[in-house]
Amino acid sequence: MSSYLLATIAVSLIGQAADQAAAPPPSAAPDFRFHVWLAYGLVLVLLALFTLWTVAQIRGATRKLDHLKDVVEKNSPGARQG
Amino acid sequence: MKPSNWLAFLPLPAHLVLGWALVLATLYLVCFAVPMQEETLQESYLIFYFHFPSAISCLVLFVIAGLVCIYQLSTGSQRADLAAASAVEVGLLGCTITLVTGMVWAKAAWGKPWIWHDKRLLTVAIMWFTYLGYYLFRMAVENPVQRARYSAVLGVLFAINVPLVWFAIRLFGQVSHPMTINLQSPFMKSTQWFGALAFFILYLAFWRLRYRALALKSDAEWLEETVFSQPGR
Repeated sequence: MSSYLLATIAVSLIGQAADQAAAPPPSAAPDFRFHVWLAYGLVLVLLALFTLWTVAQIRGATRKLDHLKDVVEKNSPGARQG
Repeated sequence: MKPSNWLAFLPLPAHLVLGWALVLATLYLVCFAVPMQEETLQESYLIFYFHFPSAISCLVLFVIAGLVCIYQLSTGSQRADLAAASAVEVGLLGCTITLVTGMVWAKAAWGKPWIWHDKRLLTVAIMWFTYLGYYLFRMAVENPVQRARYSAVLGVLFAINVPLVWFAIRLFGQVSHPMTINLQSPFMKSTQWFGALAFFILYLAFWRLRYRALALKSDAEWLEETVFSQPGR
C-alpha cells in the first residue's frame, strides 16, 4: 500500500514537472497598454476641447454681431424718424 | 479664398460629424481589428495610428497656409489672411497632438519622452515654436492690414521649415526616430492610411470652423469700430 502511494505521488510529481517544462515561460515584455490609453485619451480630449472652444467662439461672435446690427438699425436715420 | 467655398457641397455641421465619425472608426479599428502587437514595439506601436495621421495633416496644413500667405501678399485679401491664420491654428493643434503622442510613445519605446539630439524631434519642436510665435504675433498686432501683411510674410518663411522636418532623417541621419515603421500586414497599412484620411477630413472641418470663428470676430470688430466711431456716440 505504501509503495503504491509513493509510486502515485512520484508519478504525479513527474507529470507536474513535465507540464511546467512544456508551458511557455511568463512573458518578460513590459505592458504598454497604459501608454496607449494615455495617448488616445489625450488626443480625444485635445480634439474635443478644440471643437468646443471654436463653437463657443462662434456663438459669442454671432451674439455680438447680432447685438451690433440691432444698435446700427436703431440708430439709422429711418429708425430715428420712425 | 474661403475654405468653405471649396467644400460648399458639404455643410459644416455634417463635415464635422463626418470627421469625428471617421476618427472614432479609426479608434474602433485600432481597438478591435488590427493586431495588438508589433514584433519590436509590442502594444506601444498602436499609438502610431494616431501619431502618424496628425503629423501628416499638420505638415499639409502648414504648407497650405504658406501657399495662402503667398496669395495674400499678392492680392492683399483679408479673407486670405483669415484662411491662412485658421490653417495655422489647426496645424498647430495637429503638431501638438503629434508631439504629445510622440512623447508618450517615446517613453514606452525608448525609456525617455524626449531626445534632444534626434534631428526629427528637434525640427518638429522648432516648427511648433515658430508657429506658436505666429499665433502670438497675430494677437499682438492690432491693425488688421498690418497684421495680415506681416503674418503672411511669417507664414511663407515658416513654411520653409516643413520640408526640413520631412527630410530631417535623410539629411542628418537617424538617431532614434525611425524613417518608417514596419507594418507587417496589409490590414495594418490600410488602417494607417484610413486613419490619415480620417484625421485629415476632421482637420479640414476644424479649418472651416476656425475660419468661420475668425471671420465672425473680424466682422464684429469692424462693425463695433464703425458703430462707436459714429458722431454723437
